[in-house]
Amino acid sequence: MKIFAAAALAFAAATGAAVAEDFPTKPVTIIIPYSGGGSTDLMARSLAIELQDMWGQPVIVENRAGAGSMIGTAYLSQQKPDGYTLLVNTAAHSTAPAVQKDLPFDPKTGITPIGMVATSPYVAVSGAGVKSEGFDKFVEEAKERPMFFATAGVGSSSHFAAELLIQQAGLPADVVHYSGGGEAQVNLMGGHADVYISTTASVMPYVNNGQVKALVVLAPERFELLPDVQSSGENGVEGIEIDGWLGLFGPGGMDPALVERLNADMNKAIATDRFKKVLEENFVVAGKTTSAEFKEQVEKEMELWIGLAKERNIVAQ
Amino acid sequence: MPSIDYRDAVGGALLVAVGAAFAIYSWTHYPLGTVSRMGAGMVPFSLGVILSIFGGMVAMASLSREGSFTDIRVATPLIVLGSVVLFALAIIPFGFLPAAFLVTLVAAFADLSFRPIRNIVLATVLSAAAYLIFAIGLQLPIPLFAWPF
Amino acid sequence: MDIFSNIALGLEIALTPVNLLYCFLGVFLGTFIGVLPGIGALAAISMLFPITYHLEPTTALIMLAGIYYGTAYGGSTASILLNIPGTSSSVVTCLDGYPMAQQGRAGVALAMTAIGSFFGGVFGILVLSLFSPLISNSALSFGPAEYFTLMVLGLIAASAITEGSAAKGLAMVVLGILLASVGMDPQSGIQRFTFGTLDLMDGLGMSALAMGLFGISEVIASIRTKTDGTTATVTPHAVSMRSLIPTRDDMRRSWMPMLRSSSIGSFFGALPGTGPSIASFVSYAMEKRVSKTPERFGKGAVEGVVAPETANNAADQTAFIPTLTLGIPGSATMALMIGAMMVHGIHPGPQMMTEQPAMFWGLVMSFWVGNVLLIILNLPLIGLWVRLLTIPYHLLFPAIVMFISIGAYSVRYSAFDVLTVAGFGALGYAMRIFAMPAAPLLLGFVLGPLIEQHFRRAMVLARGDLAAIVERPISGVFVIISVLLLGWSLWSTFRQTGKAKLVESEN
Repeated sequence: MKIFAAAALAFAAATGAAVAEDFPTKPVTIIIPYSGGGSTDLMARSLAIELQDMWGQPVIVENRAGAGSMIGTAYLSQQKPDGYTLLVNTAAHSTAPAVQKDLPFDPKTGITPIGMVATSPYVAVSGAGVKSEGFDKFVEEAKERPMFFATAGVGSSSHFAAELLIQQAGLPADVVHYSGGGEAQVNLMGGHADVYISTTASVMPYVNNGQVKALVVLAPERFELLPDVQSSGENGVEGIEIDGWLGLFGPGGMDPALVERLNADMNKAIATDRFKKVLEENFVVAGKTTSAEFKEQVEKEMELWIGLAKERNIVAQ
Repeated sequence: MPSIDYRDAVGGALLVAVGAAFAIYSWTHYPLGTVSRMGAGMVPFSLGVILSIFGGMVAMASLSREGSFTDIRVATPLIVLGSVVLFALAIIPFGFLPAAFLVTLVAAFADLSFRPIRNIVLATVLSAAAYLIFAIGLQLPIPLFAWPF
Repeated sequence: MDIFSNIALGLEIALTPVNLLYCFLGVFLGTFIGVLPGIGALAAISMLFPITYHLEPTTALIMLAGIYYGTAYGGSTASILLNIPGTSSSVVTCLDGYPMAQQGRAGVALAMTAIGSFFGGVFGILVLSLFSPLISNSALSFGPAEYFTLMVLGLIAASAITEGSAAKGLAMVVLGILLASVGMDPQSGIQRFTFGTLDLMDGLGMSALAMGLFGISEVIASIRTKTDGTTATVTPHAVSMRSLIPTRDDMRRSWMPMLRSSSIGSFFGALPGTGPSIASFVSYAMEKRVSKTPERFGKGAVEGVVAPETANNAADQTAFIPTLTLGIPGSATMALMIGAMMVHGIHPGPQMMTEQPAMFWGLVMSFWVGNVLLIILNLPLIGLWVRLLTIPYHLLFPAIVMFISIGAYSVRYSAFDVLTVAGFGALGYAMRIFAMPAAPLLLGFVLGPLIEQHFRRAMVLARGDLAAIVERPISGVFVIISVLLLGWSLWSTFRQTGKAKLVESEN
């Protein structure tokens, strides 16, 4: 009996270590915590296709929308950390917990950051009501006529980015909340609100159509893919070092070897020509981080947003 | 006991209670703000009050006329609602097909004609149809069978 | 640029064998999904979204669009035959459709909805083809203030839906608005009435409400039990070809409602954030108001069936206007359509008509093809559906409960959503016991949050200046119309009570 137990233990240990090599042996599910059709959904699906080709196993995509991506994330936290359930989310992953206090999972330990799929700085776009071209002139205009920053909703990354810019640039502006980026940008086009801040993937389609104007990127320097757009840094606005990233996550408590394996596979997937095209179309660049770097960034941003939420009194609870 | 329209009397009273519940909860939990800077509580509070007023009107009107009470069924609603709840409880631990089978099986008993064989056959046929429509036709990615233990 | 060459281009594309096939597939599937209560276009299109990767973009869009407007044809079937809405926009069709079926006129009701749906669809396509750029530019000038006053107008207009006691009807509207306030308040981020549950943060779903309140409660109320002493089956009405054909009187009564409802439907469809459900309510209420015999409504008036079905089809077609010409999704389903285009690198927007005329006009022409296919498909099916009535209810209702449960789950794979349906089913049954009308509740549920959110947003933008809302030209117009409408409603109510008192005193 003892020999049997020992053999069983040895077998389990061996297979545990081998899991990272054998993975995956059955279909993998990627959760998208938004409803279908948006830029996040499409990029996640493209990633799923790459991984499916790489692994030879079906990679199924599930949309579980709600609560600013927290419903899908909560579901993820309840799954087994065996690598077969993953999730793709934007920086909403770090902003939403700053406004939602009673999450059924711990944002730090309940989820394992695996790697960064893509990233871009946040871009502020201006609508029909704003006459200025370029951030420096915009600041002037804002002093004469206090502006309205549209957001996609309380606790969204567009909300937090707007609050950060307003604070750091000392703008006499207010935020006004909409239900989603589409509604926000439509109001920009109609001149009812003035500025909207989001990732390039969300705003560039409308910039390219000429419906809104790219005003400034929220970064220390200009963004390589948008060389003609000023940066907040060059205009003397300090303290803005955030990214509008798209990341891959797994449930909390994943085996580090597995995380490394997934991170490596993900980095391979985003380097393919096919995915490069997707990146180009969305005006984002590949993530190219290690899992440790990504985890650090996520946690750093979580702290930042929690601090900002307190300072700017973002949600009166 | 004067004859009144019991149905509307009770109905009206219930509306008053529901409206009051919304109003009181909003008053005590959410900031009301002002009309030009409305807080989260302003709309539920005012509407709760308005609902109570309407409920009062319904109840008042009932006092001056006669009316009959509708028959209330108990078993049928419980069984139908129970079957839906069963689906909700079963689908994640046990999968799509068992849940579909359970909801149709249990619901079928709601007509209170105890015909277990007929109901089992019906449930099987409907589950098969659901499989064809959703799993095959629409490619719904729900696990067909699962076992939680 | 010439409209005729555009049409020719579009037809060329729409009529290729592949596109025809997928159009047919789409509208067929759409009809089927519309008939099934619980599953709507959104769920189906979400599930089938991956096909867009394997098909040409235009072909994929043609099929998905076919599903979308196809459901507006099928949705009325269950409404009329079973008093259970097949889709959320078919709830209003139950009000007169089911009484018509009970009077043995199910075939006529189904035929008229098919005709009305076709009329509405065609009207919507014409608006889309001829006026898209104009409409989308006008839609841009609708800011929060305009939406607010418009929704208030819609609420006043649609309150004509309430049957019987005004107090009860209005109470239900208020209850609907209260139920809709559950969830995170978009303006402040505060969770209202969620009691800590994450699942309620996005509020109660409209589909869950419609299916529970109208579907489950109807099933509960309609099951004939042994103890009732009535037969266990629904008696089949005599089904002859004669009874399927609308009378000349029906047609005469219907054509003006079709025109009016198409206009209303096209309007609400083109405005992002509003859509077929609101259109169906407002058009029904409009017909009831302008009718010389409003008391027939709710008892089997053919106008009451034609109006909502025409409106929702028109709305479904014009919903493509902001989608294609602004690139803005007016609803979750439209977001999927835009996604389908983006997968292939096409970004809809103002340039779409000029830079992608093949796709734009191919799609628009496929709408024609689809609507023609639908009317060809649906009219003969009427006989089939009416025979469905002869299936014993005790075999039918478990299927209905199953479809509603699966449908509720499929939106975001949430068992909580299924529980919500059960909750609304219980509420719906309780409301039947107390004779509280359900349609006004749905109306309040849909319009209430729009009114509140747009008002608060407008207040933020106007920095607290209430007058500023009224002073804007478009909102001002809506306010004036609202006041007039309210005045007219009150006046006609007084007149009615006055007449009734007169009649009473004469007796």
